[in-house]
Amino acid sequence: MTHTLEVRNLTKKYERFTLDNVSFDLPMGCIMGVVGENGAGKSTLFKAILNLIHRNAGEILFWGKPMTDKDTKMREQIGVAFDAICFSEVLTVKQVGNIGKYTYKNWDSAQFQELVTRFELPLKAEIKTLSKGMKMKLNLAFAMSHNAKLLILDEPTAGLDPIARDELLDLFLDFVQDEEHSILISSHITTDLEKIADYITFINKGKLAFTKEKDTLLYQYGIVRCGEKDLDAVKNAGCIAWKKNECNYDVLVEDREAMKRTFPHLVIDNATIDEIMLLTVKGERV
Amino acid sequence: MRGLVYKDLMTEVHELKRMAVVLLVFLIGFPALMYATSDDLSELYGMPMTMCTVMGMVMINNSFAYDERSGWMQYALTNPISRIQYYHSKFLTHAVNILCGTTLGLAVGVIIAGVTGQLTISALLGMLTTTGLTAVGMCLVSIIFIPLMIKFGVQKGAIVTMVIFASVGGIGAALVVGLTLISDNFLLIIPIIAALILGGFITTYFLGRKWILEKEF
Repeated sequence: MTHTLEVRNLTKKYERFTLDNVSFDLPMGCIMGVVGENGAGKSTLFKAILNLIHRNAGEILFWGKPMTDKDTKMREQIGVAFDAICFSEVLTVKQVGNIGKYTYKNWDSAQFQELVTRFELPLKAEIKTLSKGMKMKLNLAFAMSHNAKLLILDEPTAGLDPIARDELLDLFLDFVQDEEHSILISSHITTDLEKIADYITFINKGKLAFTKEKDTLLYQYGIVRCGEKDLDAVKNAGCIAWKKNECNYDVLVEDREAMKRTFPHLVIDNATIDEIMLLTVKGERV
Repeated sequence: MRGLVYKDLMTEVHELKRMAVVLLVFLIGFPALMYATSDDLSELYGMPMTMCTVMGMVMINNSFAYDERSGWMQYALTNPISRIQYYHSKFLTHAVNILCGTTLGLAVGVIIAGVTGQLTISALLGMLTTTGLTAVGMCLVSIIFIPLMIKFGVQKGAIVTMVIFASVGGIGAALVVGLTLISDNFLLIIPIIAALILGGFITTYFLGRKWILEKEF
């Protein structure tokens, strides 16, 4: 068994939105970034994984086993952080640590203390007096102080300055040094995911657009910049999506090197995750 | 579950600090005012005692309000805590609140009665009966109140609770008056009414379990 998390044909139907038949695997020792525009279904996906909503179909396996509401032992091994702090704002940092101590059998007070010190969080301060960045750090300190093997993080770097974000990204990279550890993380800041993720899962309008290795996306995908006269030829040569700009076309292609060989006269740039997302969502399909 | 109750109690301690002035009015100001203005001192210690117990009810309401505002419930369920454990933790917190409120109320009552020279065995028994009955009443109320908070949230839940109590109280009172008028054997009906009330509490408890298991975030 090499997967921390397996999502199979997950479907959740709401009146106006459906998370439709999503499947992917998160291998052990890896970080998977989940991307998609607002309302694409990322949070629904995370809630379904965490049993916070009831799915209409599909299966979710943690370390090869399904997790029910009663499986509290399994949740001992999962650390979760949402994009906002979920502790009452009148509690202090120290009290949050105590909640962890009384909740988790594997709670590591020394680890919590170390993270609190590292993040420069004042122990006696009430949460309402902390900045947004500090609140997020407290969230993460709580999620990472009970020897979890899997972190599920929904927008953990949202609203943080670049220095704080970089600090957290380093922390996540440290976490997955242990090959049994994995992280499922959603973020709108795709440059963060480009730094740390091994896999990217793209959710678009409730459907899985793709799950791919990040390196495949960054080193194989490309954007062909061409004029109208070359567009048809590029499209026929294997484009994923294309978009008209003011005076040229951006064409997303899966095999950048092959395109360079076929169209040596055209400019073909590396594709960022942002561009891949943008063209997949907004671009026209062949 | 210990973590849940600890979290609730710490939140409530903060709330109590915030409400210190209100508490002082009930515990000191109100008895002092009655002592100064009224010849009838029978309620001198009864009111603060009852208020302390009722505060327990207010506190559990506040704990739901804090949970709702911070999104705690959905986060708690990602911890090693089942939905039923969360549900039961609210009853446990409420029981602790009632116990603390009752103890404080009784202590205040005894002190006031002692200071005003009214502390007799019969007064003490009266105080114990008052606080005991209020505590049992508050605990029973929670069996309806807590499930409704889970189902409807804090604001709507409080309104629904009030509507239910007003309706049940009104219907119950009308029924009792009506039965008293038409029946010579009214006392025989009391066990049936008691059984209906008990059945109502059991039903609400299990409805609460169902609601929390079905709840989505």
